[in-house]
Amino acid sequence: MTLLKTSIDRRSFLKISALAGGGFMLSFSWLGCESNPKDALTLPKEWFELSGYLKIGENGVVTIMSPNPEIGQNVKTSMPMIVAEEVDVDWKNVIVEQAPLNTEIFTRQLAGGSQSIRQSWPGLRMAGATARHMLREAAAATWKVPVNEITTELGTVYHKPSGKSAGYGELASAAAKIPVPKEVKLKDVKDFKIIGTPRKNVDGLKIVTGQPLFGLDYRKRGC
Amino acid sequence: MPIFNLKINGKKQQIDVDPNTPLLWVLRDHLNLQGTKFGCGMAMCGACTIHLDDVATRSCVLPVSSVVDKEITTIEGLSEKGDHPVQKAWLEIDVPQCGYCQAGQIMSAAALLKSNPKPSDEEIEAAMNGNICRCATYVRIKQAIKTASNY
Repeated sequence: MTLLKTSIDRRSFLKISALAGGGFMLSFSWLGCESNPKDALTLPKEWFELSGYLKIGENGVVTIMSPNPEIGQNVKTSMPMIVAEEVDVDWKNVIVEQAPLNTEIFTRQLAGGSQSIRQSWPGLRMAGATARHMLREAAAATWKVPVNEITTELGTVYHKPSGKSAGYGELASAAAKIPVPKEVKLKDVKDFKIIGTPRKNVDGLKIVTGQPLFGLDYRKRGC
Repeated sequence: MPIFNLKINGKKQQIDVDPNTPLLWVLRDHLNLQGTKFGCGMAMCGACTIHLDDVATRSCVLPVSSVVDKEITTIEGLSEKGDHPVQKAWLEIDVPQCGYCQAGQIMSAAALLKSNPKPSDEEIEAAMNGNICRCATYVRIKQAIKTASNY
């Protein structure tokens, strides 16, 4: 697996969020605090650390970390869906992993106030969009064509004018060397293919076969 | 302490525990079969449901001394690959949310369908009445049981 190690500074994040259409940022409030753009300054740093929740394998499989606790609200499915949407990858090629508690990378790793999606929406989208942008840049550099002619669809990068294409997996290691963009463009809502569609619980098979998933099932080593 | 000979998921097991030890503790703590959950410890919630000679039974209040020579089946033994009709229907309908109660739900549903392959709505409600779900997945549970009954 090639890990995309990168980070985005706070300034970039604010710009990106502005590009995303102020609506997202304005609706972005902390447990019902008054919404205004200044709230952005209190955004958790967690979302800037791309490697905290996304890696792309050479085979094109995208592993997305789900940062928040799953308590039946299905965030372990829905939060990675948001990232996958912006990465533009086929959901069936996504592996979801539960992120460990890591206060260096993440904050607000809790469930409460129905805030998981609201609080993380711009950050998750930005993470996915940044990865997609870097894959497009990598393709443009490889093929020596302008990046604005590069498109993506479900895990494949295309340069339609020359008929070239490559899977995300093939470009992943090149993409990891691309400087993190100052700005990334998020998808138009009308182009969503995953968000807004029903997807099954990513832990369904584990649940129906009784595999250990819960706090009660935790065993200390040696016990 | 006495040694008990148990038959769990088709496999013979010897367990050396106090006769009053609940079967649930034997499953989870002695045999590492963690699919069966502890919920209330009073046979009120259904999370610990297993099959005892094909009958859905709460394991949290079942003394190990009472289950010798009986066929015990847990969620791990319901099928080899998670392909019991009830498990398949559960996945098709996407029943679970948090999933904590679902092993118990599935075991109750499987026992119901074994004794009554085409249950009516009322029969489903009666059989599933003792299995509580905090996520309130009841509508999908009923739908999945009907789906399983039509496989």
